[in-house]
Amino acid sequence: MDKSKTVKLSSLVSAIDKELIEIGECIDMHQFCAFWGAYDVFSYFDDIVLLVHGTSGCTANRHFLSAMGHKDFCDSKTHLTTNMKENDIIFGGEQKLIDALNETAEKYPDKNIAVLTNCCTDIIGDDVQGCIESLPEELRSRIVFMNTGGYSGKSYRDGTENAFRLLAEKLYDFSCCGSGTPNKTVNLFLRRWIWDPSKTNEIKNIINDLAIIGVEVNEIFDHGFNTEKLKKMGKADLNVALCPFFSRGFLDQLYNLGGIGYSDAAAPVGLDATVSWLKNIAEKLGIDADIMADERVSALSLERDRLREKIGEGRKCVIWNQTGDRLLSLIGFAKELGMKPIVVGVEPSAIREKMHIFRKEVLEGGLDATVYASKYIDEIRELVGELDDPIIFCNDNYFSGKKVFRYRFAHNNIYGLEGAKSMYAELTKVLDTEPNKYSLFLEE
Amino acid sequence: MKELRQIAVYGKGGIGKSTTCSNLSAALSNQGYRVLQIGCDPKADSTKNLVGDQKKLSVLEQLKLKKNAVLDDIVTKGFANTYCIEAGGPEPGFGCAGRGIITAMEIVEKLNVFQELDIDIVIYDVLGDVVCGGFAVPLRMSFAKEVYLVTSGETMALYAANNISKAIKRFGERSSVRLGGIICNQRNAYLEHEVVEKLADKISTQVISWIPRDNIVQECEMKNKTVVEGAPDSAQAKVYDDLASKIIANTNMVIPTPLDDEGFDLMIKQPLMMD
Ligand SMILES: Nc1ncnc2c1ncn2[C@@H]1O[C@H](COP(=O)(O)OP(=O)(O)OP(=O)(O)O)[C@@H](O)[C@H]1O
Ligand SMILES: [Mg+2]
Repeated sequence: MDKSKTVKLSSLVSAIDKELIEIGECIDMHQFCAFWGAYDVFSYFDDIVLLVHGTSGCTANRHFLSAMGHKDFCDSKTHLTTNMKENDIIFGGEQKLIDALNETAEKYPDKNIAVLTNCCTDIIGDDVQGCIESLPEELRSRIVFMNTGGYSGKSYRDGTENAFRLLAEKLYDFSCCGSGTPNKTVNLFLRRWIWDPSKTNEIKNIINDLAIIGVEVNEIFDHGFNTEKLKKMGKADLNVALCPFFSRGFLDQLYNLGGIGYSDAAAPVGLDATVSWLKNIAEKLGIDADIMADERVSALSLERDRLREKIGEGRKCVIWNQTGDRLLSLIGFAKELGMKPIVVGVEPSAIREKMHIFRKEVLEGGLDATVYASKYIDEIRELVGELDDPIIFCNDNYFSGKKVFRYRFAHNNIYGLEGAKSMYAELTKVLDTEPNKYSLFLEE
Repeated sequence: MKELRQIAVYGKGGIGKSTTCSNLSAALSNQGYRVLQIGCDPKADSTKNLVGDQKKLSVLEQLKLKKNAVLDDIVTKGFANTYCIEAGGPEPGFGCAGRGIITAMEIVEKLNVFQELDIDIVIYDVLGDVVCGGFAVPLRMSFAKEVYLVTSGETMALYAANNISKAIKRFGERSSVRLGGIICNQRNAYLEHEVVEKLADKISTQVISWIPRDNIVQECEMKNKTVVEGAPDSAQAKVYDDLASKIIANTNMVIPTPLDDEGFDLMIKQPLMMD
C-alpha cells in the first residue's frame, strides 16, 4: 500500500475541520444542488404546492430520476414551473412569476405555495422576494420562498436543511408543543428516497425496535405529510432520525422553537449501532431498559459472532462509498465484525459538508479507519491486489475474483435489527459463494 | 463574393458613439456603400438620426411579440438608404441585457440579413463598455473584425477605451479581431491632444480622426438628423466624410497592448506634470 496516500480518517477530519485543507466548491455528485434538496423536502407535504421560477428542465427531469421512484412507480405528481424562455431571461421573469403565483393560488386554494428558483433566475437576478412582498397579505402569507440556484455552490444539504428550517419557521404551530402527556413517544424521521415496499418494511421494523425500550411512535415524517401532522408532532417527547444527515435543520428548529429534543445518535446500521441508537433514545427519555436482554437482540448477537468468526479477526476490508454518513455507518459495521477498514474514494468536500456528523462520530466518538486517498479504479484495484483476501464494500462489482459485498442502501433493509440481520445474511452469502470471475469492467 | 466589412464602435457611455456611427454610416452611404448600422444597446437610440420619424420595433421587442420575425420587421431604411437595426433590450433593473444582445445577434444571423440586403459594411454601435460577455458578442467569431474606440481627452473616457482594448486583445489573440484606431470626439479637455495621442501610442494604435465639438451636431439632432443629412455643406459634415474615407482605406490593424491600472494612471498624469 502506497504509504504516501494513506492517512487516518481522524487526522483527515480534524484537518478539514481546522480548514487546513484547501477544498474547492463541489456539489455532491450523488445528491446534486440545493434546488433538489429543497424540492425533496417540500415534496413531502401534501398541502404544499411547489412552483419553480425558472427554466423547466430541472422540474421536468424530476419525474425520471431514479431516486424519485422505484419499481412500478415514478413521480407523477404535478410539478409547476414558470417555464422561463429566452424572452423572460432577457426581459426578466417577474411578471410571469406574479401571474403564476396568482394562478397557482387560485387553482390550489387549500395549499401553501413553496417557490424555488433555479440557476437561470438567479443569474439574471429576478427579485423574487420583492415580487412576493408586493402581493396582497392573504396570498403572501401562503408563500414560502427559497433561493436555490445551484451554480453558486449551494449544495443539496443547504437545500434540505434550509427548507426544513423555513418550514419550521413558517408553518409550524408551536402552540401544542408539550401538550401531550409525557408518555414516551417519539417522532420518527425516515431516511430520504425510500419507497414502498422497503419503506413500510422499515417503518414496521423500527417500530418493533423502539418497542424494546418501550417507546412508541407519535408521527412519522413521510411522504403525504401535512401541516396538521406537523402540528401533532408537538405532542411527542423526542425526535429521532434514522439518517443523522437528513432533517437536522428541522430537528434544531423543533428544539429551539418548540422545546422538543432530539436524539443525535449515529445511524442504526449493524447491531452495535442499533443498540447505541436505542440506548441514546432511552437515556434522553429517562428510560432504564436492558436492551441486551431482549431475545431478538441476543439471537442477533449470536448470529453476528458466527459471521465474525467466518470473516476472521483483523481481516482487511476496503470500503468505497462517497456519501459521508453511509461511509461512517459502514466503517462501524466493519468494525463490529472485527475487520480493519480501509476507506477509498473519500471526498473531502463531503466530509466538510457533513462535518457535524464526522466531528461527533470520528473526533469525539473515536470511530476511525485508514483512508487510502484515491478514487481511481486502477489504483484501488492495485490496492485490493496487495491485500490478503480482503472484503470489498462497493455498490458495483469492479473486482473480479474478489469477495465483494455489494449491498445497496437504496431499497434494502439497513436500519435496526432487521437491517443488521439482512446485512449479516448477505455478507455470509458473499463469503460462502465462489467470487464472480466477471466484474463490471473485466473478465479474467 | 464581395468582402463584407464589419466594424464595431465601442466607448464610454455618452461619449458620442451613436452620433459618430450614424454620421459615419450616412457618409459611407453617400460614398456608394451599402451600409447597415446595428445598435447594440437596450436604449435602442443608435440610429434615431438616420431613421428620422419612422418608428420601428427593436429586434427584441419583435421577439417579444412573435416568434418568427422577418427581415422587414427589424430593418428600417434610413437616410441615404442606410439600413438600420436596433437590438433593444430590457428595462433598467430587469432581466439580462447581455443575453438580449446575444439573442438579437442570433436573430440577425438567422435572418441572413447581410446577404439578403447585399451589405458592404456593417457598423455595430455597442453600449458604453464591455460589461459582460453579451456585449462582447459583436467581437466574437464571424462578427466584427475591426474595432474603433471613441474617446475624448477626459480620464474616464480614456479609461474605458483602455479597458475595451483589453477585451479586443483577448479576442484578438484567438481570432482576427483587430483594433483599427481611436476616434477622438473632442471635448476640449485639458491637454486633450497630448493625452489621446499618448494613449494611442501606448496601446499601439493610431488616432484615426479628430472630431471637433460643434453645436451643429445638436442643431441637426433637434431635427432627428445626422450632420451629414442636416448640414451637408458644413465643416463638421466634411470631418465625418473624411473619417469614412480613412476607415475605408485603413490598413493599420493591431492587437492592442492595453495598460494595466498603474500604467494607465501614470499615463494620465505624465502630460500634466511636464511643466
Ligand atoms: N462632436 C460632437 N459635437 C457636439 N456634440 C456632440 C458631438 N458628439 C456627440 N455629441 C452630443 O453628445 C450626446 C451624446 O452622444 P451619443 O448619444 O452619440 O453618445 P453615445 O456614446 O452613443 O452614448 P450612449 O453610450 O448613451 O449610447 C449627443 O446627444 C450629441 O448631441
Ligand atoms: Mg448610443
